[in-house]
Parts: sequence; structure tokens; C-alpha cells
Amino acid sequence: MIPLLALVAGALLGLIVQPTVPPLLAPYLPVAVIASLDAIFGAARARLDGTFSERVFLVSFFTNVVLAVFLVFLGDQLGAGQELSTAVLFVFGVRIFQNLAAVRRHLFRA
Amino acid sequence: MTQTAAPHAPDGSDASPAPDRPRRRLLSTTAVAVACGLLGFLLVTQLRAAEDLGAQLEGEREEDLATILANLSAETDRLQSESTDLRLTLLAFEESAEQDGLALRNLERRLEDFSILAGVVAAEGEGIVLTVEDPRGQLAPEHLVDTVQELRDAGAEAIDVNGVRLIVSSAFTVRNDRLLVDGTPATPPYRIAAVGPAETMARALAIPNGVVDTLHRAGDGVIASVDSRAQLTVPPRGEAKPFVFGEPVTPVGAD
Repeated sequence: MIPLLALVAGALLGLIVQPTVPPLLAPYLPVAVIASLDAIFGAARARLDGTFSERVFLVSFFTNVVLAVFLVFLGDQLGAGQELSTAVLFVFGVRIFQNLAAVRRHLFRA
Repeated sequence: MTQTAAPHAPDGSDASPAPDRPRRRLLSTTAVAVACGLLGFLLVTQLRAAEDLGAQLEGEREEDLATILANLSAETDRLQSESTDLRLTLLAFEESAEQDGLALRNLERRLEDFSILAGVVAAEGEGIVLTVEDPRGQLAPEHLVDTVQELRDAGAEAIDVNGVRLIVSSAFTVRNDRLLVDGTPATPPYRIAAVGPAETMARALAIPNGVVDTLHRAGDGVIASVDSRAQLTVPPRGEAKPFVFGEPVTPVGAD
């Protein structure tokens, strides 16, 4: 419940503040968002599995984001920015799907 | 960190000593809340950023921008060449319209000339008026014919005698001692108006042994006087007589 409320609160804060994304960071923002989404869904699955640890969650949250952004940045420098960005998004997408499948199994026993 | 070798990471609710538990719970909850808040914040920001095209372009990579630029350049070239083609087509149409206009104007001018020749329209311009007094009626049709011949030779374009416009089929005749112009009786003084080069016609009439001299010698009391005018109007003939025996050889308007 608290995480959900915090999510909503953060979203509202974003709507109120309406920050403009610095152009330098603009390509990395979508990747960061997907990476953190993966951490959230992983935490939800762990919670339902009964294996949730906030330490694991926090570490995975921040390392996911940092690693994803770093990978995309590296790709840009190497000239394969578009491709690496796609690869990162793909991997996170797969993990999100897996976590959601586990959550679904828990919720619907199916 | 824990006594038991747990296969999963410690969840913080069993292994810690009791006094730390509430503090740890608070800390972990806060951390989770902060992380979720951050996610919400980033999510909203990214969603908003994705809507704005300008920001989208700013966020694009160089290679993407180069591709977009190349596409737009190609599109611009295509549109410009299309614009040039259309302009050329418009030019061609305008030229052809002008040609049509020229042909039309030529036809109109010919129609004007023929109308004047045929006497269907009034003619106006410079010319002369020849007034002939003939108190004793001594003039014959031949005198009028000679006068008209002289005037035509001098360049007269439209002539009328006592208000009767002379056309191709005009003739001077006599009946009951009366001169007739195209069947209309003409009584002296005869007024002959001719539209054409005024000076040339006046001089032609006035040459020694010319029309004026001949008229004066035709009888006593016959006085001919020439009056040059800068503006003169010769009336039209009413209805033209249709041709019965003649047929045109070439179609009208063909050159």
C-alpha cells in the first residue's frame, strides 16, 4: 500500500513541478524508467513469494538504473547507441514479463 | 549476516534483534517509498517529455537527427521539383491562352475592316466633306461616279452621298431627271462625305483639271467646295443585301 501511495505522490509531484528534461539526459530517461519499473515488479514478485527484502530491492533499484544508463551511454560513445538502447530495453522488458507472470500465478493461481 | 543459511536474501523481519526492528522497518519502508516516489516522478516526466516534439528532437541521437534531416531534404527537393513542373505547365497554358487571344484579336480586327468595307457599321475619323451646289440640276450620275472614283483612288475608306452610305453594290442612276443614289433620290446641294486621309483627298480633288474643275465646268451655277475635317462620321448602311448568285470561295477567317 505504501509503495503505491508513494508512486502516486511522486507522480503528482512530477505534474506539479513539471521539470524540463535537460537535453543531455533526454535519451537516458526512458531506459531509467524501464529499469526502475523492473525493480518494482521484481519487488512485487518477491513480496508475493515471501522473499522480499528491502535491501535487495533498493540495491537492485539503483544498480539497475545506473547500469542501464551506463550501458546506453557506453553504446552512444561506441556508435551503437540505438542498438544497445534497444537491447537494454528488451532485456528489461523480458524480466518485467517474467515477474508479471509470477505475480499472475500468485494472484490468480493460474 | 544471519545465523541461518537462508537460500533467499534476509527479509529483515526474523534475523534482526528486537529493539532494531521498528527502526529497521521504518527505514526500509521509507526507502521503498522514496524509490517508488522517484519512479512516479521519472515516469511522469518522461511521459510529458515524449509529447513535446521539440524536446523529442532534442533527445534524438545525432544519427537519428541526420536521418530525419536527410528525409526532410529529400522531401523538400521533391516538392520543389514538383513546384517547378507545375510552374512550367502554368506557363505553357498561359502561352497557349495568349496565342488564342492573338488569334481572336486578329479575327476581330478583320471583322472591323470588313464591316467598314461592307458599310455595316458607321465609320468615323478624319476626312473631307465635298459640297456641290447644282441649282439648275445640270449634273449627271457620271459626275458623281468620277468624284467617288477620285476619292477612292486618294484613299477614302467610307463614303456617303447625301447620307446614303456607298457600298459594293452602290450605283448612281437617273430617273425623271432626278439623280438617284442606290435608288434613293438625291437633291442638290450634294453633300459627299469621305472618311480617309484628308489632305490627300483634298489635294486630289483640287488638282488642275481634277474633280472640282470638272464640276465647275459641268454647268453654270455649279460650285464645288472641299472642307477638311479632323473628325467626321459616315453613317452605316441599314441592311446588307444577301448575295444570291455569288458564293464565297475561301472560308471566312482563313488566311
